[in-house]
Amino acid sequence: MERLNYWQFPGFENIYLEDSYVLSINAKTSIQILLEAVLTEHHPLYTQPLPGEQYCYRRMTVNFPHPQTYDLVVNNISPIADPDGSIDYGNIDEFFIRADGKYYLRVGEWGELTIVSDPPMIFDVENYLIVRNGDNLLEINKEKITGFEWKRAGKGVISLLYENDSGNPLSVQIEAEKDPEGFAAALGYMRELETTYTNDLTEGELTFDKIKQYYAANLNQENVQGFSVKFPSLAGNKYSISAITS
Amino acid sequence: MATLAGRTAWERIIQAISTGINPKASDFKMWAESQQGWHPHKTPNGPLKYIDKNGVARLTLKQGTPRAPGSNHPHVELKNPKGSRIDLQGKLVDRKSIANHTPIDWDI
Repeated sequence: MERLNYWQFPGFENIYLEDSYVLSINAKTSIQILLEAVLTEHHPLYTQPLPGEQYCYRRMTVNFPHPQTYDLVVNNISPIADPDGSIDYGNIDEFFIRADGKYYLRVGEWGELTIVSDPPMIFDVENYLIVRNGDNLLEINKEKITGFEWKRAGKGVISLLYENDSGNPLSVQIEAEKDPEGFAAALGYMRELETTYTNDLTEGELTFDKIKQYYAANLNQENVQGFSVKFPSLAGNKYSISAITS
Repeated sequence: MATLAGRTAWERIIQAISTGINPKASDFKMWAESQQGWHPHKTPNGPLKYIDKNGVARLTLKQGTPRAPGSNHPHVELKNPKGSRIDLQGKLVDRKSIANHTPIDWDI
């Protein structure tokens, strides 16, 4: 096997990434890419495109669970603004797994991600909350959620009550420390946090300008043209960020 | 400044649009190659793009794919010098709009 393209991955068969838009990239305990994803006609959630739109679009995340290593290289990232002010970071031009077991993903003209992780998963985040349950990810239908309890213990704990497809009551505990993405998504759903997709590298969305400002303010480097994020770092830190300078 | 061949290619594109037929990918290619400071960029399986001197992908030619119904639409995407998406008339368009996906005949 020289390479296996993304549409051969389970769950990705009826997604068209080349015309989907990247809305944000989150790099915490796992890599998450939030997409305005294009669904093709055989996708179970496919509906006719809305008037004036090219495709059936749906907000989804691509998750890379249990990342062992990743290398994100970003060059001159510039968000693209729509007339309504919403931004995106372009399309996913390529996504495949190589013979060496590394997933490779190219976003627009600016980004490359090489990652070793469990097989990527794609989730519908318009209708589902994605939270951790032990080592697994759990998809909870938002319409089946019956209650929340938010405790300020530690970094925060949310107990979520919901029903399964048979109507049986279930619950899951989401600890901010162990599942920051799930916690943020649950908070977002509760409308107590407006931005759910953040990156602790930049304390906000991953943008080239923020990295540039960080380097200018902290490392006195003004000519940063891009940056590379490696996980885990050789020094034993969570991340190492190195700048690409001209 | 576009060359004569580039200007002629653009005229063919506009004429095709005004007569209700799809313009050709080869005309967009010829037009883009005549633009000063633009250079082609293509990864092995990615779309053909023309990038300007500021790093903006001003023109992207996408072939679409027959592998999945609903995605077999060759089309072109355009951006202005500021990096905003535009249609052939230069009007700002939404990312998801039909106007951001001008259909073309794939002949390259």
